[in-house]
Amino acid sequence: MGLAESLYQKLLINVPKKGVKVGCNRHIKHVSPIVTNFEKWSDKRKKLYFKDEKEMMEKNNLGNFDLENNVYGRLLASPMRAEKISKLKSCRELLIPLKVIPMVGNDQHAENSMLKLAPILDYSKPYKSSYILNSASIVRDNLAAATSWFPLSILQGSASRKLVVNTATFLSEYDVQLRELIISRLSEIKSVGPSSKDSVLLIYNETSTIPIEVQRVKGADGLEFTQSIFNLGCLQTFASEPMINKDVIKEGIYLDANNDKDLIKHLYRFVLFSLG
Amino acid sequence: MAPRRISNSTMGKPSITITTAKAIINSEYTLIKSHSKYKLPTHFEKLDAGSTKGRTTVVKIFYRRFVRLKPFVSNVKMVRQTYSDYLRYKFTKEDYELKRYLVFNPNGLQSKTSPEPMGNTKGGEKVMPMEEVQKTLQFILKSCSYLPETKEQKWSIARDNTYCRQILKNILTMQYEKYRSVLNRGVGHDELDVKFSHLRTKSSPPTKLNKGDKKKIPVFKIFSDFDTTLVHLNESLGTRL
Repeated sequence: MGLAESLYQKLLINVPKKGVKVGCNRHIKHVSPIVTNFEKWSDKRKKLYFKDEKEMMEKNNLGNFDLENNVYGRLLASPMRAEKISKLKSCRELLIPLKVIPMVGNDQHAENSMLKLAPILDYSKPYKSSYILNSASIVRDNLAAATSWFPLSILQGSASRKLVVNTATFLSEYDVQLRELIISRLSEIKSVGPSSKDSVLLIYNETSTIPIEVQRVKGADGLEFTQSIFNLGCLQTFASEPMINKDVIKEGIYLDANNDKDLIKHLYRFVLFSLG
Repeated sequence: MAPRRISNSTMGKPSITITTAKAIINSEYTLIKSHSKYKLPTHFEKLDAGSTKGRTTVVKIFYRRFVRLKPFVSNVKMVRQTYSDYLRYKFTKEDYELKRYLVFNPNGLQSKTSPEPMGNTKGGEKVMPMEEVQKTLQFILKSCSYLPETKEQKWSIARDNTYCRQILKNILTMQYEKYRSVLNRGVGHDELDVKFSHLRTKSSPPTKLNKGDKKKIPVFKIFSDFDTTLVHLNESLGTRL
């Protein structure tokens, strides 16, 4: 440094005894206060430091919530997306994703000028998507304004293109997709025992009005675990078109939190869709 | 006291790590080494939350710790503000038992029977749900934590912490959306946070609605789906987010 040491020395803090080690075995006796309390003005995101898993779990008693296998945890952790009807933000997995499909018409000139909007089950990348809320009745009431549900980039960018939403089949299209997926997954299900953690018990009980319950159950080994109960009997739409043999489901089907993740998620969304 | 280490990483841009007595600061984060301010005190087990005085002490202990974690929640002032507002709401105003009741008994209030006692009040005074608040503190601590993972060394708990962080972030975003609707959409703070109207209308679409109320239905649906799922999550984890 070009300055004489006497000029800046007063600004530094005296370090007792040995001094401070700086890199290549150099020791210095005075340190700038910028370095001593640097965490106060570093302006970086603050985090609590744990050396390893052991320090976190054993010393600090911070356990694993196993959120990866928790259907509610996964839904709530999904990224926030704008919703088209209420103009609010919500978790992506709690909404119905819509995709834009270029329509191939009979007319050669019109081939690239028609865009159709259709609901899909899962968000997928190659499509431009937008989202609407997951409720059969509210979507039905708002179908008249369905062309405004196109992604913003398309609404602003393609004045020459014709935007189409098939309002007559829009809802049933989604409903059928959801049902088909649930039926096909249910048919290949291997029922697990009641002892698996975070499992879901699927029942059909028309007398109960509670669609989803969360219970603490004691397992065979004496340990308590949580179990969700999805009751399809509450859904009026279900009765007209049974997805699975009622006698089978009356007994209850256990779904595994890990293996049947996708099915559990879609069942939960189906409940929200039909109830709303 | 303050050793400074400057290391150039072999990959890409150089990274500087500065170690002070209390923290490690790298190019991305300030990592605080001491956790004692954020954990429950050692004498916590001995405190009696049953008495009114003990209860006040315990509530203060928890509240202080949640507030201390504020700088860890976000670097953005607005998000930190939402966090402290949400904390104050949770500690002072929220009737969580009513919220929970409405989620699990969608038709319960229609039948005009009074809600069942939750076994959580004692002589008209609320009892602190100690275990649940403790679990919630763990949840927030997890969401603010950092584990030094490398390509070779991964921990499954780090994935879990990421989930915690994302959920906390989404809760705060949702809370901010609620403020926005109070300001711009004529949906009252009373309706969303005190009476939980959005959870009541779920199974009973009111037939005679004026224009203003009709506009509220989609807004209520978004909030009710989120809050319902959050209550379910709380039930399964034993937290009270």
